Amino acid sequence: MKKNNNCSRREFLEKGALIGGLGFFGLPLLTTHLLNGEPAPPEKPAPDEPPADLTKTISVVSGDDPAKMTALAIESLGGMATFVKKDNVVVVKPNIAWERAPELAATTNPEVVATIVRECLKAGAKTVKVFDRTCNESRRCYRTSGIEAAAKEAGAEVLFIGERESFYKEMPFPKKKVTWPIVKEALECDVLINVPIAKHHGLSKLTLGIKNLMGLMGGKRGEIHKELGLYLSDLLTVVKPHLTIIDAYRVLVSHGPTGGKPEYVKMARKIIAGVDPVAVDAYATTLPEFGLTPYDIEHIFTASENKLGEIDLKKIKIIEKTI
Amino acid sequence: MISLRRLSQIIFIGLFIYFLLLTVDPHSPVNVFFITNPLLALTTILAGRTLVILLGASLIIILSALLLGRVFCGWVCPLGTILDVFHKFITPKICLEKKIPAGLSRNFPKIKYLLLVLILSAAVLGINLAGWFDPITITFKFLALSFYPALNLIIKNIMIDRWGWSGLSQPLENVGILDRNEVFFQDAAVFIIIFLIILGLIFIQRRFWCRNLCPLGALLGLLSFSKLLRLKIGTDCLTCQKCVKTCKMGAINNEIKILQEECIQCFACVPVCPVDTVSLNFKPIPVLTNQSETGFRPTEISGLPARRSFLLAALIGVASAPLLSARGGSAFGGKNNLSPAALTTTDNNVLAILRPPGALPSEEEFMNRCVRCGQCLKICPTNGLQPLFLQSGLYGMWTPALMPLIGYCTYECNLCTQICPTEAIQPLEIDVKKKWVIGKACINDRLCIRCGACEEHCPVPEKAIKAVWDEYGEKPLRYYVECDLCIGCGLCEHVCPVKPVRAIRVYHTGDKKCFNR
Repeated sequence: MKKNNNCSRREFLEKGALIGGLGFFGLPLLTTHLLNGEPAPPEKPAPDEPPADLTKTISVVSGDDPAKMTALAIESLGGMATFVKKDNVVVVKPNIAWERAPELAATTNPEVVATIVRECLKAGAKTVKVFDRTCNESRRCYRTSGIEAAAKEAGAEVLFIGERESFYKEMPFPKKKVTWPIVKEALECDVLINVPIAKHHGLSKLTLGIKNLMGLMGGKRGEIHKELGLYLSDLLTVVKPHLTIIDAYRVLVSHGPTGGKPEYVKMARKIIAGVDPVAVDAYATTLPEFGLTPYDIEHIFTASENKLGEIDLKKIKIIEKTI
Repeated sequence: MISLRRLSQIIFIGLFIYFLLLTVDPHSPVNVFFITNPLLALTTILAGRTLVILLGASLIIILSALLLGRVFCGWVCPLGTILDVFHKFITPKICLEKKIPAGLSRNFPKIKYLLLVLILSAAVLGINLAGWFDPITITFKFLALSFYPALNLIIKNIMIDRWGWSGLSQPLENVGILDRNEVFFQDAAVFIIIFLIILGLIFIQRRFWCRNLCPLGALLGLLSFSKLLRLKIGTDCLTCQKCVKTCKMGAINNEIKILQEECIQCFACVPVCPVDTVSLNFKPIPVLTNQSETGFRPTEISGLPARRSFLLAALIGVASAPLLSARGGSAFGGKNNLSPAALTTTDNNVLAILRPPGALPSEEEFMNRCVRCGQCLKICPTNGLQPLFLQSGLYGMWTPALMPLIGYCTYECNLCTQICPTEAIQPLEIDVKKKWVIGKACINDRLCIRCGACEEHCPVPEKAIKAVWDEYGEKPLRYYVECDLCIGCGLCEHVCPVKPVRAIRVYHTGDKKCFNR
């Protein structure tokens, strides 16, 4: 009968399309995989892009135990294994800018940093480096903030960033059309995890994830405060964090960014994590302790204008959990 | 005994360097070489007109000199050890001492006694010169302020950066040989020059410094008049002069006579004697018996200079007081204020120099108490404390000053107040130190670019620098210093990006330029 022939033709076409399609898409994959196998690739293999929906997702965990909250916030995004692959070099960049005790909320909570380091190592990271280019004297900042001890105990390598040229690499800032020294370690790592603390800032109103990346800049950073938005958008094109985890457990609500008195600190009891650095910052501005909108903070707005992330929280899926 | 002495020298120079490397935070008892130094103690007590309890530890060295003589010089002093080592490895072949006729080479004038008298007589009038001549402070300043930064520079910039020996940095940082920050001390070349001169003098004569120049050695030599451990030479001496040639201090002269105050108890002469008649022990010489019965040559003579030169030195010391003092002629109690140093002072009689927190409020008292040991400079974590050269007159040489362009006074730190051996920088609790006013910051509005870095960095919790905002609260119109809150730590000046003159500067409150008072 002709019907059989018909069927077999359809089968043939279907199978042919399937095999052809597989070959068309699969062969390059296969070959690139083979190519990447032996001769080392010119650039370090970036960790796989997280699924599309992750970039539009942030997780917010409330609770009383910063360490557990951090672990849960990472888990909500699919676990650290989504970001950190085996033998990756991870840079965790907390805010250690000031010589202040953790209770004064001028520096990132050491428990949060330690938890992230542990999660990275658990996910198979080769080394986890923790550092900041501090504003006060680095030895004392590292010690007083408690981050050096906590990170070392968790198994991280704590680095000191000096002032010598060899620590930095000049990177072009596309919009400002200048070059600026950026800490080499942050450029050469596989995964960059930004761990800021949410706090008040005298000039930019709030300092969150994007502003925390300033700790990777060398040189005299003071002058960039004049055009903070532009500079920080440029910086975000040069160093793009793969994950931002904002420590909003204790937040400094006035006299930032240094604080110094317990009266200035409020308990927000939140950890905010996400892939999109702008979205995470945008959410943190709306915390009731600050009572702002993302559009109030110039550098967050400028970053979204430059298509570096989503500022509109309505377009973001927010996973809220409580411990 | 000689190997025992060498062991002791190695141990003490090791301790000296170990304590030097420990002179960073956290605080540990690292100033032990300074608080046990009798010369510093004596001048501080005389010139500062005060008893510093910490310096009571120098009684140990004084006691050791009374009982054992100059063991400090021979067994402990780091400078002496360095000179010995250099002599051993470098100079024997080219030492000029052998070329100078023996009689001449042993007769350099003993300036050290005159120097001691000069220092002490100046101290009686309130002028502290010990820090310029004391061997411990000279060695410390050379090692900590010149050698250490230079070593850091070489290791970091050449070995690690250029040769790529990056594995070196971590272990060296851990033992303190490398500083994590960049270290720099202005005019530190002076210390290299001074040290090289002292070192170079051993080409002329072994331990030239110790023999002829060291005022601490002179003090210990004078104290050792009653020492029990005495050098003795028996009557069966062959006058072969082997001990004379061995002695690095010239304590035995060509006629085999002993200058007890020169002997540093090094025991080098004892084994070289072919008839074993040179001895260094506690056995007393029997008195009131004649020479042949005691078995010892009556060989002790005094190497002290003539009484007239002592008087001259004392006179110079007295004369130095009005020349150097910040108070000028009023060092004698008068009202005459015409000395060069006094002319640079302001109406408040304050040299417009930012002193470390806790420094005695009167500039004059501070300079009289400070022994220029350099420990506060070494311990300052931000490198902001710098040795002055001539900025505050000759007398202020090597006193510490805060230079905000180089470093600032970090808010949570009181290390310099803890380490000062003479309490010229008084020990402050951290809460007191946080309120200590070093100076006041002043903003030059015409230079200010409104970047806000000074406001951001201001460590005072209430923020001593505040902004005037425009009507929308968007842009700062100008910044101003809240005078009552400012402690003058200098961090704002340190971070100000305006070049070449900073838009915000810290001035001493006695300075004319300081309009925030």
